[in-house]
Amino acid sequence: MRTAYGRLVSYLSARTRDLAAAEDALSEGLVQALRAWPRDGVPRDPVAWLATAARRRSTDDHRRHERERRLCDQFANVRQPTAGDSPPDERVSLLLACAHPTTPEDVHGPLMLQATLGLPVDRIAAAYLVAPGTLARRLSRAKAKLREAAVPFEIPDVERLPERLQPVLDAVHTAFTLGWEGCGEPDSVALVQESIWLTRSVVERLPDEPEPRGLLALLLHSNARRGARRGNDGGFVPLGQQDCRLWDHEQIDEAEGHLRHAASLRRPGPLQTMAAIQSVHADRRRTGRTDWQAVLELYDHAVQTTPTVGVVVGRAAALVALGREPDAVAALESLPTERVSTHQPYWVIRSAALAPVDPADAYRARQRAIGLTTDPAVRSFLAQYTGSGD
Amino acid sequence: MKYAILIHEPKSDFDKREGPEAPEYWAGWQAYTEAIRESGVMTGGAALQPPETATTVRISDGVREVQDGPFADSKEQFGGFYLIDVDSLDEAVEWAARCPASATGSVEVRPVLEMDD
Repeated sequence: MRTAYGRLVSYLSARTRDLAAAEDALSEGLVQALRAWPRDGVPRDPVAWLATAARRRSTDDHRRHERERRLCDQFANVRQPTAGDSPPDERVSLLLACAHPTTPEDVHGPLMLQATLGLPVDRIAAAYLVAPGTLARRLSRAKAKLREAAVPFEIPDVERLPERLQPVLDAVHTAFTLGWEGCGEPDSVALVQESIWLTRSVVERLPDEPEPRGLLALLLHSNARRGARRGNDGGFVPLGQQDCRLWDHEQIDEAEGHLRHAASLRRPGPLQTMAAIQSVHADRRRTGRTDWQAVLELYDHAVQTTPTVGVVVGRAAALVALGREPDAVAALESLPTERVSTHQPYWVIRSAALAPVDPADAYRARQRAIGLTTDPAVRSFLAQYTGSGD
Repeated sequence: MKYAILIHEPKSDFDKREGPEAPEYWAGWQAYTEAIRESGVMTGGAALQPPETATTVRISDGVREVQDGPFADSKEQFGGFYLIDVDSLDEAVEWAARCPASATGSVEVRPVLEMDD
């Protein structure tokens, strides 16, 4: 149903360019299905059945409003699928529309999760840590904007593809990270898997774009460590202390394959660099040690192209691991205060970097990190170092 | 925009305020309070004594009642609040999620009603 939902929404919205109407028509179709299928049995091609029902539904609902009438005409022009002829998979063009630059960045991911996977607003709101009412308003504003701007549901030409693809990849990456941080809860696990699945869709549709493969490699590398990042007592286990035997080697191998393919296309990009860093970490399963010098070199490169707070902090962590704490402190202090005041990893690494030179300041930084942590397991882990409050 | 972060804790949390778990309990609150203060968004707040120390007054059918204990006997009780001034509800919700009580009780975010003088 997950695959079918996105396929149907993309199918219904591909020509009308109206996500909200496509979703409404589809939910009407689903209601009909719930009535008809128990009575008449499940049709041979349920997806085609739903597409027809949704399309007919949007044609039936005619003449209530001008907009709806216009939509009905557009839906009526959609080619009717027959059994065995499932709707064309326009998922990637739907993703591109969801992350269109006319809509604000913070709505891209939620829109994708709603339109392609049909996740309910309250679940998306919990993952993105926003009030459900706020999110619902943002989603409908974004859909209205896409409709007004008549954003085409199509894959742009080669020259414009990378710039249009970037917000898609960013939004999927964010969705994954949110799911990853909310570790353990069933919704978070689902979010992680959906993000990987969406990235895979992009890779399958655009196999020779290197950055989607970079992202897929990055996500697979992280996800491979799922079983290792919680101890038997449920406590948080940082990457460096994880038992590599608990990693999912199949996922690591797949990640490495995508990264190699991406590299062979000879168009480097930030996501490939991030994936390469994870690849160095994964290599510990073979060599028994982490090549921090290699990690640092990759971060040196990343800092030049995309100097985000996350990248600067990651580079500082590599410097700390190499025993170059003063350099780490200098790197961290190059960041403007307002960009780091609530960035939890900054305070974790700052504490580690200050530990040998200024224990009191290191303690304060760690306290700040604890205060900024949302995951109770991570909070307890950080508290162990401070000797809880003395 | 001004918000109140209202903290509702279960009895088990109030019990942690004294005894073997007290250092860990207070360390969490101390870290949170320092983070919210150092980030420059906190404008006020207070931690409250446990609910059994409360006295509740109400007039019901014209008769005044004074009762020991909190106004309602619910699973979670009001434990304290922070007042913050942030750019958006999103930011306020983020601060609520960092609050130690979000893992054990519940944390409510409410916009402050601005009074005209």
